[in-house]
Formats: sequence, structure tokens, C-alpha cells
Amino acid sequence: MSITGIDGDHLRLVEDVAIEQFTDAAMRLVPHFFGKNGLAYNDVPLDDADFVLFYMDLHGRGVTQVLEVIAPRWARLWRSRFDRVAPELLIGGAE
Amino acid sequence: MPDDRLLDDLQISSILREMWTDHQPYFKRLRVRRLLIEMGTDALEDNATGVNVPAPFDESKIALQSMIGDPVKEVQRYVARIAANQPEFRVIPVALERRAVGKTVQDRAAEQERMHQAQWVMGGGASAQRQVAWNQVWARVGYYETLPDELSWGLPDRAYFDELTDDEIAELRRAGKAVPVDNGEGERYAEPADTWFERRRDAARGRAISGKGLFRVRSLPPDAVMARYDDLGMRYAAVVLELPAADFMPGMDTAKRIAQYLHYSTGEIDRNDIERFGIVFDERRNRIVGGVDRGGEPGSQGRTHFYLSRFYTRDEIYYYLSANNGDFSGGMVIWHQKHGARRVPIVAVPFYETGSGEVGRQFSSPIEPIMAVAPLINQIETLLSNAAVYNGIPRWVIELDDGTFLADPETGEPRIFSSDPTVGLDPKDLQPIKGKVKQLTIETSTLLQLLLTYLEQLKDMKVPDSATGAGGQSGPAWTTRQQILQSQLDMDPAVSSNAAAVQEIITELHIPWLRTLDVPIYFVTAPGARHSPDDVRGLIEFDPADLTDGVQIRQDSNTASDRVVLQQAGLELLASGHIDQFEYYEKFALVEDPIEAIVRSDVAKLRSLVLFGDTSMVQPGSVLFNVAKAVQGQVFFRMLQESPNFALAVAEQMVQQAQAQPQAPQQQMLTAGGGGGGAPRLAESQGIRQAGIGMPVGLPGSPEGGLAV
Repeated sequence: MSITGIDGDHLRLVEDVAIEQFTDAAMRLVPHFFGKNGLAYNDVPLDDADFVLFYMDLHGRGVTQVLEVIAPRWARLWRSRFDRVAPELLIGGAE
Repeated sequence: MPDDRLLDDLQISSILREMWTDHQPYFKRLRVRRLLIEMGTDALEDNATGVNVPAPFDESKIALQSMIGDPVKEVQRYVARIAANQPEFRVIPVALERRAVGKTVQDRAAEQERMHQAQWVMGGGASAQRQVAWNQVWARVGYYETLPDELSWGLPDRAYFDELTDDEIAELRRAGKAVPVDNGEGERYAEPADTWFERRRDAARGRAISGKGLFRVRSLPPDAVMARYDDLGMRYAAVVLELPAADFMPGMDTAKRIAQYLHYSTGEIDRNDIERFGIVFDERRNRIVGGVDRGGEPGSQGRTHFYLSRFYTRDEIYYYLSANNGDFSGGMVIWHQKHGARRVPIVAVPFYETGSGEVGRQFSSPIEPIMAVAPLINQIETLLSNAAVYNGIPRWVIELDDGTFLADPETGEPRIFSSDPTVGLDPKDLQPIKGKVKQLTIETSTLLQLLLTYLEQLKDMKVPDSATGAGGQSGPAWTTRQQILQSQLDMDPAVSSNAAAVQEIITELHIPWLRTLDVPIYFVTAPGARHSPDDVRGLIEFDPADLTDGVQIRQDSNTASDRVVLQQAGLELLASGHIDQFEYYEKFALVEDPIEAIVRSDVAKLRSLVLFGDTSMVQPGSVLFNVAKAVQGQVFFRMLQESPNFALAVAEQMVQQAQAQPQAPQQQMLTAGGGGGGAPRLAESQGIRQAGIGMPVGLPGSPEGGLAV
């Protein structure tokens, strides 16, 4: 630590601790952002049929494209699930 | 009884008698002090306490003995200060091969600190410390006595199958549950070593979980301890405790147990011994488990009592039981054992050390002058009380014109008219008045004058008000601090003395004992400050091979009140730029880890900005402000990565805003971020400054969003 208390190591330490703490705090608040009966993806597992509808709606409104950029992991996860279950459901539904 | 002891009954009784004789004048002084601070009605003690009632008042039914409460009050005030803080254990990490201390070594040192702290608390050290502090003040010195909680650490011994038949043993051997062992007394069959070790390990773990420590730390008053010293320190010591004689009454069930122990090696049990003692000995665990009172210092048990002396040498401990005959003769050792400490496991904790070699005068205490003046004040107040009572009861004589008193015609003595029962009711009392009626009173002005002088002296002898937080409240912090520092000079020797004693206990007794353990040391961390809800008391396993002797004990002499003043003084220096944050936290806030404190302080400033947008603590443009912006972005990014709902909410919002601003092409918006690392800037460009604020409570279009409304 320097005499002023401000050096690279210290600031990095402050940043690391702050990110950990604030992320934890913010994550604890996330459920409250959505209200008691708001969005519930993962709060209540969607079955395959509901998920396909849910994903198609997102895709139709361009939300999945934004997700590809800001949260590629979730976008990939949902796309792969959609790719896996949708053909069977859609074909089955057509029949 | 095992006969491998170094001292026999006669030698021990001789040593005890010699020490007892030497200690008697000291013990008598201590007895007077106890009476002064306890203010008991039995406080006469050769008038050393100043409550003598002279004739003729001593025959009065309403004679008063007065004792001032200042001695006990001052003892309490000193104790409150010197026992205000617990000792802190610091283990110095030692790395022999490299100059830099690695993380493992640091971690082990931290664990050893926690282990000592936990063992200290579980062993009773915290309460013993307060009692030692009390003894330091009133009696100049207190003592710690520490031993392993049980000689075999409460762990199971190895199981031997001596009583099984050959066939049964053969069966066990086939199952791998018995192995031949030869420990010099012929071959025997025992449980395998690994099974035994596992049992010991499980037992050690179980003990820790149930909150049992490995050691016991006790406090002893100085009037129960007799010690001899040589150049190496304490040569031997005896703890003499009085026990109620009823514990040893013939016919007690527990008496039989000790008798059995005394003769277990020969199998011959003497009926007389069975009837004689009341101590319960657990042979399996090799320890005395009860049967008699804990005992108290000599003089504490009334008339019928025995002495139980714990006599320590540097190698052994003896329990010597004797009758109350004052010379310890005729007693006997009822139990003995090698304690393995290589020093007497008793540690003296003086207030001041004087350097004298005379029993009782090796130590001193700031309470001495108060103890000296208290009996004088007691005596004057006792006299004054009785004079006041006398003066309060009407007694008259008649002074004749010539200055003589009206005399009783039968005795020739002045005739006294008393209100006892009530003057004037008895016609005999009626006398022709020849002179002036004059009340008989005792003149007390000289006594009062003397009393005021002593009270003035007493006032100067007391702990200064500034040391108790009552003084200097209207002055600046530094002047109060100055007064506190001055008064702390009186207290520091006692506090340092306790820290040194605890260090002796840890490094010279506990660590060597712990090194004899063949199982890991398990302990539950001592309760302390919780920095977050995730901090819990955890079970920690510590390998005795990792123990280091580099233990330092620190004990703070500031009380809570002192700390407030100290912090205020520090804040003033910090604000004026004369010290940096490190110095403030280390020397004024007295935190354990100043670096951690600075980090926590900076993080707290960032919190108000990042989570609540408050810029009062961190000014825009400052270095910390830039850090805050980076943190804000990282937190946003982490939330996008870790919360699907949050990512979805952000994406939905961005789409809505893009649709509301057709002039801003969506593609342009997306490319501005340039992927994951740019997401914070992207979000920022959308006006999202704080996580979640302003987001929709539900996501239109999702099945739940639609159904739940």
C-alpha cells in the first residue's frame, strides 16, 4: 500500500470486493424487480410446449437477437433447447 | 496405587507445612483485605479492619460498626478497566526456505490463531481472566492454573481382547478385527491400530462439535496458592483448598471408589479406606471426576473441613488430602500423575512486580493506599456512629450554680436523667431544680476533622474520573485522550502482565501438550464479529505437526469509552491530513486488519454510488469514481451472465426502446456494444444506470407474464 492508500493493487482489491458484494446484493434484489407474479422463467420450470411458445414469441419480437449480444450464454442455452424440442413438437402438433 | 511417584506422603506434608508457615502473615493480610472489600459483619479480625467498638459502647445493643465501600468500589473500577479486553492471539508465520511467506503458511498461522482463541474460550479462559483481574487488584496477584481437560484427552484407549477365548480371537483375526501386540509384557491381542486411530479421531471430532475444549483454564485466588521459585521460575506450588468435611463422611458411596483406586494395583481393599474418602476416580479415563466440592480458599468453609492440596512439581501433580490440623500432617496422596508440562502449570499474574523475594511482597497493586487508609476511616466512622447514637439518646445532668453536677446521694456520681424508658414518668426522678439542665453529649469535632483529612486523602487515591469515561466530556478529544493515557499508565502493567501470562500458557503449556496428540486437533471457531450473513462458526481440523511456537498475545487496555475518544482524535488527524488511513485504522480505530478496513471503507463509499447513485461520498472525476463506473459495468455484466430473468428483462426493454425510436437502427445499437465486454456501455446508452431500476415488473409475451395477471 502506498502512503496515500491509493495504488493499483489497492484499487483492484477494492474493485474485486465491490463487484462480489454488489453482485450478490443486486442478485438478491432481482426477484423483486419482477413482482410477485411477474416473469417467471426458471421460477416455474416451463414444460417443452410452453417453452417453444415462449421462445417463438421472444424471437418474433427480436428479443433473442438482443440476447445474443448482451447475454450470449442464455441465448445459446435457449436456442439449443428450442432446436432440440421444437421440431418434434411442431411436427407432432401438425399431425 | 501406582508407586512410581517421586515424593512420598511425608515429604509432601513437610513441604506443605513449611510453605504454609511462611505464607501465614501474607494470608492474614489477605484475610483482612477480603473483609475490607466484602464488608462482612465478621470483619473485626484483631481490629485490622477498623471496626473496633470501644467500651462502654461495646456493651450496647445498638453499637454500630461502620465500613466504607470505597475499597470494593475501587477494585471494581480497576477490574472493569483491566479486564475490558480479551487477549488476542497472533501467530507469526514462519517460512524457513523462502523469504516470502506463502499462502499456506499464512493460512495455517491464521488457523492456529483461531484454534488458540477457541481453546481459550472453551477451556474457561474468558471467565478466568476476569477473576484473575479481580485478584490482581485486591490481592496484588492472581493465578492461572491450566491442565488438559482429561489426561488422555477424553479419547478412547486401545481395546485389548484379553478376556476372549482362543477361538473367539481366531475368529476376530480372520475378520481383520484383532492383531497381536507385544508392548513388553508378552503378546496380547488388540484392535488394529487404524481402527483405534479412527475411533480416536471420531471421538476428538465429537468432542469439538459438542463444544468441549482440550484444556481447562482456572483462576486461583492468591490465598489458595503457595509457591516457591528458583532461577528457572516456579519450582513447585501448592493449591490449598478447603472442602466441606461432609464430603468425606464415612459411608458415602463415593468413598468406596477412591478406596478401590488406592488399592487397585494389588487388589487388596482396606475397609478403613473405603469408609474414609469421598473422591470419585474414573480409572478408565484416568481422572478424578467428582465426589467432593470444588473447594474454596482457606477460611471459606466454616469449621468442619478438610484440606485438599494440589501439589505441583515441574513433572508431577499430587492430590494430597489432610485434616484441618494446620500442619498437613497425617494426610495422604490420594492421586498423582505426571503432567508432562516440564514446568509447574500455574502462572502468576501480578499487577506490579516489585522484585522482592519475600512471600507476599513480590507483587504490588494500585489499591494499596486505599487498603491502608480504609481501616482508619472505618474506625473514625465507627466511633462517630456510636457517638451520634449516644448523642441522639437524651441524657441530662443538672449543673449547679457552682459548676458541679447534681450528685446521686447513694453513689456520689453525677445523677443522670435518661429517656430510658422515659424521663419524668417515674416520680423518683423528680428533683427540685437547683441549677441548669444540661444534655450529656460526646464532643466529636476532632474526629470529624480527622475524618475529613482522611477522606480527602482517599479521594486522591482513587481511579481518576477521566479513566472511567466520566471526565473531560466537554473538552476536545485530545485533552480527554491525554488524561486517559495518563491514567492508563496505572493499568498497563496489569494488562501486559495478563497478556504475558496467557503467552506463557500457550507457548509453554498448551502447545507442548498439543504436540503429544496423535489425532488432528478439532475445534469450532470462537464466536466473534460477523462481517456477513455467510460467516458461521465452522469446525476446523488442525494438524499438530503444523503448530508453531511463534505466538504473540496482545491485549488492548482501552475500554469502549476510551475507544470513542481515541477514534475521535484519530478522525481529526485524518481530516487534517496528518495521518493516512492505515495509521488511523491501526492506531486509532484499533482494528485487527487495517488493510481490510480500508478496503471495506472504500467499498462502502462505492456502494452508495453504484447501488444508489449517491455521489456525496465519491466525487465525479475522482479516481474512486472511475473505479465505481468500472464496478457498475462489471456488476451489470455479471448479472446478465448469472440471471436469465435479468438478461431477459434488459433485452425486452432494449427492444421496446428500439421500437420506440425507429430512427435509431437496432443493428447500430447492437454493434455499439460489440459483444459481452461492451454490454455495460450498451446498457448505459439505453439509460440503465442501476441494476433493475425502471425495468418492467413482468415481461409481456412470456406465458407466465400473460397468465399470472
